[in-house]
Amino acid sequence: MDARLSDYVRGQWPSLVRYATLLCGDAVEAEELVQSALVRVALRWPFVHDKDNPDGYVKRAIVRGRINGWRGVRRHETVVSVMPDVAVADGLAALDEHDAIRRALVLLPPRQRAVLVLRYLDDRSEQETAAMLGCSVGTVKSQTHKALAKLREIVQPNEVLS
Amino acid sequence: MTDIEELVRSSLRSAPAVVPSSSDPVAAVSGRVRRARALWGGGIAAVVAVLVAAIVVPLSMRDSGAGRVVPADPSPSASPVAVRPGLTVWSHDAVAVTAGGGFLWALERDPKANDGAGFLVKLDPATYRPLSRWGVVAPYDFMKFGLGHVWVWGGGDGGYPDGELQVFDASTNDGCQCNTFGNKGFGYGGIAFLAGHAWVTTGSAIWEMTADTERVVWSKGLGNGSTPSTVVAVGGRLWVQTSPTSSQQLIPEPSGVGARMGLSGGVADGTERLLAADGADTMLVTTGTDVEQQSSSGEFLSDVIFDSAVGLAMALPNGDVLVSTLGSEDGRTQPALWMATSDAAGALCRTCIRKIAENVSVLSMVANPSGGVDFVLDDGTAEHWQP
Repeated sequence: MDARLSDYVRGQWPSLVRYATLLCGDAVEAEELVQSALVRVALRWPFVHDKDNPDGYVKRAIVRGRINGWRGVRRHETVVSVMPDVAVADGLAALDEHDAIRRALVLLPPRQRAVLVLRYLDDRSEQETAAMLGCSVGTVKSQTHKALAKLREIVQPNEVLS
Repeated sequence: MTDIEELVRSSLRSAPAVVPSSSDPVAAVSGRVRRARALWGGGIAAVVAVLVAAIVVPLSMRDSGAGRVVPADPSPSASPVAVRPGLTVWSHDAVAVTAGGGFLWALERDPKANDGAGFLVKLDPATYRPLSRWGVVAPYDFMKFGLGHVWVWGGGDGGYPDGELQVFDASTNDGCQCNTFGNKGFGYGGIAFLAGHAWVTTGSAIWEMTADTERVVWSKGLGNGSTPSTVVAVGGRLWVQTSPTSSQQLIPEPSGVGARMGLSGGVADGTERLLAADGADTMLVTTGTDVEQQSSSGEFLSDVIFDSAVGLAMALPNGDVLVSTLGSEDGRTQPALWMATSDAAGALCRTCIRKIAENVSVLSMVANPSGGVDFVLDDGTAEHWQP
């Protein structure tokens, strides 16, 4: 493996696993997802343009691997049977609210979850997100809308109903 | 930004750190890369040295204006250099090598291209002088010669999720003469030639393609969950590796799916023999001429065990088999190249395998029509070896 890619893997491994965990909701599956993505990147290394900063390429491989169910073993997702309680307005509750959102993310389909991670964690534009996912901007918009609506329903059910 | 958007953003950003279980991801990834290079998209890729009549081709080419044909360079791009006894380097940008039509064919990266493009180069097999050169678009990883065409394929991974199959007419040098088949979301696994057609595994299906028009005339799904990789033609049958643990016989008729072999690690063609690896990937199995009977009985002609997983296997004209092994993931054994000698019946000798070179990761190998063997290593080096 190229020395630059090895350095990148050593330095970014925990961060990539965290990123993949947000995408798939499972730390063990996330490691497999990241390893598979890195294998594909290593195989494609001669074609990677920015070898000193392959972060974008690697994350794209992780996201696509997740959505396409790339050859790695896909574990069954853990369904959260009990919805988190609605948070109240204090500092501890804010932590719970964040946790509730992260748990609720697990309930979303892979593409919707990927859209949220790309849009709100990576701060990518709708166009960039569409390019990463290999879909249209319209799909990104609709998936974002559906995902947010579903999250709102989960974490703020009363508000949605009203 | 709405409240829910703000909440999602802050939730994602405040996600706790994850402690990965793997303490040495570089070693883990490197090991898988070595295995993937050999097994992904080809299983055990074997090449039988069949010397066919040379196709008379004019050595000069005209640029058709189609933008894909590049005039032949009259002089070699690099003079072959002897690096160690018996080995001569002839390229540093190679991806794969094959032989056919009396020529050697190399896939090479274009170091100046920023879109991953490269070249298919036809070489004089004795001097390595480039005779003609075509442009190839990324992705390209593997190639095979058959039905008078060079078939180049790649993709289906994260970087290039859509597979690409590019077909070049080896007998015509005055135009593009190529067809390109994309397959959205699926890579190509392998190609075999039987009954005048090409058989291509892609996605979970196998395609039958004609050589004259290069079109798909028949397609058959191989079952949900199957990820066919290698396909080889042995004994008048197609053998498809449909999963990491089985190889399936597919007779070239729409209803003709037959026996299964409980072997993993891919299959490879060796004239009338079938070469395959066992479950642990470290054993190379050869069958006799009655492939079907042996595959059903599980009693094979011979088996040879190596010190790490078998990556590539190639039958030489005299029956001997060249084998590249991948090395172990923990680094205790290094990737290497071996020669397994064969008796008159085609059985490999268990006790007389010989290590030819160590610390070499072979991506591709082929018997040179002018004698010897050519290899492409994972660092892009292409070498010729004269046993």
